[in-house]
Amino acid sequence: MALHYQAVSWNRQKTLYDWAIAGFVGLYLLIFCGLQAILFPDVTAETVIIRATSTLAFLMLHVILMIGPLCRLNPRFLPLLYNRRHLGVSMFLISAVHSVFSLLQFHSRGNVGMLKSLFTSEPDYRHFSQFPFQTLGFFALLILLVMAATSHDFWLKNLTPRLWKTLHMGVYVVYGLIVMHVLLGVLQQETSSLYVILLACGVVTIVGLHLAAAFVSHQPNQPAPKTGTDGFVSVCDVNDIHENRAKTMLINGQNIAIFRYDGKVSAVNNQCRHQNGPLGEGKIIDGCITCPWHGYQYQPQNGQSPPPFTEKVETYAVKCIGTTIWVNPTPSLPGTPQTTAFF
Amino acid sequence: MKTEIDFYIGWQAKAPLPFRRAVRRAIITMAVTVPILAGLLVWKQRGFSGGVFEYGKLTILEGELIRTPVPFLRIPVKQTVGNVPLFERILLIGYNKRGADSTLNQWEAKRGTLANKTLTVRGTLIYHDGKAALELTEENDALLRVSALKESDVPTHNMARFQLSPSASPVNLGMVTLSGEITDPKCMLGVMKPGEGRPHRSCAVRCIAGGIPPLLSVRNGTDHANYYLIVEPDGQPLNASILKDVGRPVQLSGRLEKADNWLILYTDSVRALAKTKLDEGSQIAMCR
Ligand code: HEM
Ligand code: FES
Repeated sequence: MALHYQAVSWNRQKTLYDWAIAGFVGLYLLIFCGLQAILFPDVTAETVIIRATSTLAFLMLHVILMIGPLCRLNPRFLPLLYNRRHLGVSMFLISAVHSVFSLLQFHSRGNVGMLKSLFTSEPDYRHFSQFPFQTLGFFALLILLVMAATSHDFWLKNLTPRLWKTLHMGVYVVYGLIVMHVLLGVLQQETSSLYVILLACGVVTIVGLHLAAAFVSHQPNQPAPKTGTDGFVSVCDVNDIHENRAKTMLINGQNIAIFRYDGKVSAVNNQCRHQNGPLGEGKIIDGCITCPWHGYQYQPQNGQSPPPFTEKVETYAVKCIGTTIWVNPTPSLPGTPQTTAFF
Repeated sequence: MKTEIDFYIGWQAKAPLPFRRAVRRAIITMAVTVPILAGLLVWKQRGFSGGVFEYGKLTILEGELIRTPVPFLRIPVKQTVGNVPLFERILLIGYNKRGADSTLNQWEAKRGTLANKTLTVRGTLIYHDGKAALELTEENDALLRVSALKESDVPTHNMARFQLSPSASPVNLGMVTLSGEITDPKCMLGVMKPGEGRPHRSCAVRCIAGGIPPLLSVRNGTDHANYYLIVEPDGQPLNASILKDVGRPVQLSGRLEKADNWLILYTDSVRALAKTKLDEGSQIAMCR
């Protein structure tokens, strides 16, 4: 029986995940607002709301951006990746509270409309240090809005995974915008060096983790492949691959996952049709390659999802000579059956 | 190559032990860092002024309306030194991000000229550092009563009605040059905290563009600040021309007047001064 792989149900993991988000959000707001009231009783409620939600959203953005590379470095963090979009949507909602309160506080009820005020009250667009930092926050919010609105699998299907993924890479643009929003804005007023240090730590952590993850995934963990005359490339020994698992290769720009199972070898494109999850880090369960991210499944010999599902990934011709695996890095159309390679 | 680990798919109800351990570690790390971060972020703020905005509480005041160069209500203060009546001026400010003039004009359209008459007015008090302002929250309905100037306030020699009563004449303090930051008195006195500085700049621009007279706040080395209302040399508002200089260090030169407890600077010389920290930083990096 094929595993039930559509990620629609509300299971225990999801519930726990959401409780954890709610718990940490509550904890942060409680401490932030409580300490404000104790240490700075003169502050206004609006400023507390603006600062509590902005800093919380920025902190959540850091966590969101750390999860991806952490999972690349250690797959045991994968449960954090699953449902990350709940974290994303919560972060959007919290940053929207900050944005709406800022717009109301700084721009509403004046002699021009709110948005006009946002873009014209600080007109010095040409000077870096005088740049109207609030407009950066506004564009970040717009991108987050589009991402949150399209976060459901419905949009993933309708926009195609590739476009969806590209759209959701916008989170990095958001991060850059917010770093500048903070640097050109509040850090010109709150001049404690601690804030600069914390911001620097945040940026270094995010950049560092991404570099480390990129370094690890591009480690040449195989000898340079030998190309035969027939277009096949020798990639590795069967014994380098665990049973029901895969090894991934980047050959001629093709990201290929080579699976070993039941005395056979098959090669498919490494990118899952759902959200480009790394199929090569998946496992063969009930005869199907199972994506580690959300459990989409594909048959190894033809790259097709088991009926009634219709997803297909590209396949590659494979052959075994002795225990050496040879792959032809020219992709066949998604869902093309390949001759079984026994070893 | 990687060693075999257990396999986990997100939707499975229970993750295998190694996954649960990793997640538990992540949760514990968060449980430690989240409170520390929240604490540090709050603790290191530079602090907020003790200004008060009596939001939701209306106060009734009676005093002489002064319309130029900025609208005040001039109120006799109860305590007098050596029998000389002491006055305090309450700056009048409109509702929202607006100056009082539109409301005062509405009143005058209905009741005729009001300058130098005694008005009973209801509004929301904003006060800080010995300066107070009254927001005409109810706009048209904020004017409760109009009466002619009281006998005791009018000097003995004959005095035209619309002329400024001599007792209300400001004292000339001569020419000065001052450095500080221009903001709006409404926010500065307590409606917003912070009511000055970079993040607040756009709001100060909105308030000043809306007709609230600009205010120069000059800090000396300690935490004490002096405040100066700014107008053109002829007493006209300079709100429109000063917008680009709001919320950043400036130097102003002009004639200073003391009007009871307020200082008014008549100036058309506004010079942008030093830069923000960032400017200084990039100067060091690029120009020096
Ligand atoms: C329309 C959109 C936005 C506007 C008008 C806006 C406005 C502002 C303003 C005025 C401040 C300074 C407030 C202060 O005095 O502390 C600020 C700070 C900040 N904003 Fe935004 N913002 C917007 C969107 C965002 C978004 C989407 C984020 C995402 C996380 C964000 C993150 C921050 C952070 C981290 C700070 C520094 C902490 C603080 O001062 O509150 N902002 N923003
Ligand atoms: S199942 Fe979601 S990416 Fe593969």
